[in-house]
Amino acid sequence: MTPENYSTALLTLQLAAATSVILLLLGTPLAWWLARTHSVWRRPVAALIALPLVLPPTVLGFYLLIALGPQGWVGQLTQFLGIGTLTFSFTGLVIASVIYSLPFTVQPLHGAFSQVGRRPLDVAATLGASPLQQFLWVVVPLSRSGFITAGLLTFAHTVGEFGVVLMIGGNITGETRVLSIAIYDHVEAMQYSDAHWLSASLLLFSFAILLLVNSTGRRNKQPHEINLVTANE
Amino acid sequence: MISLRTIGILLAILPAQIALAETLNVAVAANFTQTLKQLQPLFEQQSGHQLQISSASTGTLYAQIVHGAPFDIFLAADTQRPQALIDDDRADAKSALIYARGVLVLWSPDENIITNDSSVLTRANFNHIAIANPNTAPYGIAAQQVIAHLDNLPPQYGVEKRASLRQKLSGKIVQGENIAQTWQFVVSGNAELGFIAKSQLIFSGRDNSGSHWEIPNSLYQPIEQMAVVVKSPDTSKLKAANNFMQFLRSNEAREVIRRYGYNVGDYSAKASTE
Repeated sequence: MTPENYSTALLTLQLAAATSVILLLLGTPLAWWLARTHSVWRRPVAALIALPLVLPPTVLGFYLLIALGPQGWVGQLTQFLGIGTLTFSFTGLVIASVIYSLPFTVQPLHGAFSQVGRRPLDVAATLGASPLQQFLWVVVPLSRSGFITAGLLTFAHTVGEFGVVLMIGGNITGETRVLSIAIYDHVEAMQYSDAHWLSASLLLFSFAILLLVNSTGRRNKQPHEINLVTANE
Repeated sequence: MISLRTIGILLAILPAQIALAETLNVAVAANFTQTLKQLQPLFEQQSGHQLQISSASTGTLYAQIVHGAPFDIFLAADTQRPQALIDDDRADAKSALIYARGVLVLWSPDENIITNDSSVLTRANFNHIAIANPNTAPYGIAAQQVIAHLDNLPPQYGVEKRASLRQKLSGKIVQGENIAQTWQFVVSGNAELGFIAKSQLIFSGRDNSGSHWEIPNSLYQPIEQMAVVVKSPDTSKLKAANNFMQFLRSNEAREVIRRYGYNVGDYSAKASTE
């Protein structure tokens, strides 16, 4: 491993960490709304959130390149605010990753929130808990495995991001050059041993994350049910 | 009875027809794809063979051929990858041909940025300049050579201005994975200017819009694009593939290649001396 590969790995982890934190903050209210609402907008919003699952990343990257660019509406706005354009920057990659990994945060949380059901909330309400207290004291502890799964999947998915970064990153070392791009470059440049190193590391990393996701899911099922029972009584 | 006889006749004729008209799988470097599509009908009409075109970066195509992709002809964007195939006994050394030489252009969609010389680089009053990745793309290597070359020019414009060109640009350079993506960065306005291929300007119909500087040949090593026939046990395919290589040498094909922004003249001599 060269020092450049290390700095690339570090940048990738920073991108994934920033994306995960932002997405957990944004995704939690969104998933809660989806789990509770009877609005007619529920299905369209859910479909919109799921789009990055089926869209080729190049489609997302292409539209982001145009939207964030100097003629795009986001680009016009950021220029007006004096930030300049966000393509070819770490901030731009974070924004792109937030969109790209959105379903990986919202869907596990949505599932967890739905499983909590109405009754624990009703019980908490009769005990005088406000809606915010109900959420923080009842829903969050009951959905713990959902949060862990959402966080892990979002982190791992962002680490594995390629197409979007390729389209708007510009391959700047220490700013936008992430692992998947570095692997692609090593293969293109016939540096197969570097490519092998990085690829194998990513493979092991992804496997470990998925193993972790699976084991948190199983370990938390039983306390989950016990909690529900005690809450119901 | 008649229909049976017809079928019999058809069966007798068909294999002969198929043997005559081969379908050649051509792996072509992204920058030459459009030009190849212009050449395709000419060749197909002349020879009766069909071309099946697959376009990707030279590095990707090379890796695919090494791992057994069924390509008959490889039109690369460099000489290194075809040469590696020859050294590896996967391609026919006798077939090797420099079919085009790429022309590097510094271009901006803004007509006020470039004044048909290098001064825009020394002024450096832009946020981003796009080049193709020099580790993987021949046009990127050429762009890097141009910048290095300008740095080493005699100090007739003032030493400090020249000597720091690379440093001045280092924070502003963004890399496309290939020349097509580099073009995308510039044409979308995300980078104000970039080193692109002349053929891209011609195919996009933008050769008369914006501003550009066609880089003098002396500032970069020629971007030689080499074609080779990939070895195959199928002799009739090999024959058809060699027909295509012959076609690339023809005046007609060379005229088309030149029209779409490549140099070819210098290499006809080299090709015929083989």
